[in-house]
Amino acid sequence: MSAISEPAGVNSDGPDSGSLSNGIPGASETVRLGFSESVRPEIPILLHVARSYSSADAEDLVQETLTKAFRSWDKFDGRYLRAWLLTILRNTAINAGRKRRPSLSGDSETLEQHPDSSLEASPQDLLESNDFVANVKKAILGLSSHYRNAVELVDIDGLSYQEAADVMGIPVGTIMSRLHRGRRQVKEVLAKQGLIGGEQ
Amino acid sequence: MMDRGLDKDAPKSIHCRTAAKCLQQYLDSEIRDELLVNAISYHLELCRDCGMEAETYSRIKVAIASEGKAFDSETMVRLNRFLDELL
Repeated sequence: MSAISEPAGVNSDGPDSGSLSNGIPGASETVRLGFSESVRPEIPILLHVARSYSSADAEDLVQETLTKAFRSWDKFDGRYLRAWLLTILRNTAINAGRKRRPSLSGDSETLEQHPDSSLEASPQDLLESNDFVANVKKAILGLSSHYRNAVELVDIDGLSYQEAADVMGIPVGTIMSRLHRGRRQVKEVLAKQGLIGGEQ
Repeated sequence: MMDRGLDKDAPKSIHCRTAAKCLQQYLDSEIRDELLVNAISYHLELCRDCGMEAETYSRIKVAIASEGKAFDSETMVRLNRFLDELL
């Protein structure tokens, strides 16, 4: 028996037991097209969350997730696609023994490469903005993993509270609590550095 | 511009404590009650302290989000190709 159960309708004998690149025989063109159109937009989110489990084999994890999802597509109830996919990904990662890691510290993509929040800023604004963003990043790295994971899932991955709760396997209320405390700690760090005003 | 303080249709006012309690959910678009959303928006416009608090958390949220905007394009190409082959 698997250490973690799959969401309803997901075959546990997925890619772990065979090739990842096999097509699924018997699926109609309509089914294939429907799966493609629905799931393809979710690949960036899947990749980002996969990287939080393992930077080295995140791509493999996404492929395994896509394969399992397709094999179980006919059993998917049509609701909460992202949560369904992320649950498959999470279970696959945990069953494979991958652990969540603090992705902000290890990603090759740096803030300096993506300062897109300041595209139209003046040179002075740009300097201040980069300083602000860099210090936010440092503050995030200083959070405990519980708080950091909640903040990353919602603010970086763009998940809803419910989706983040599903990924982490905890209640929505706990996600909210961790998210709010994590952000407040970031704010306190920035206030100490004089980058923002203090508490109200 | 209309003075919203005299507008009969202005959203119901709320206290700072309520606004603060709901602020994170408001910024994350997690509040389904449209009346409450409007009331918070209205309060943030009128209350300087709460407005600044909201602005600060918005900046933090944008800064954090900027970390994950871009993906390795080659990886995305490979994953999209994998999906095509899977089908």
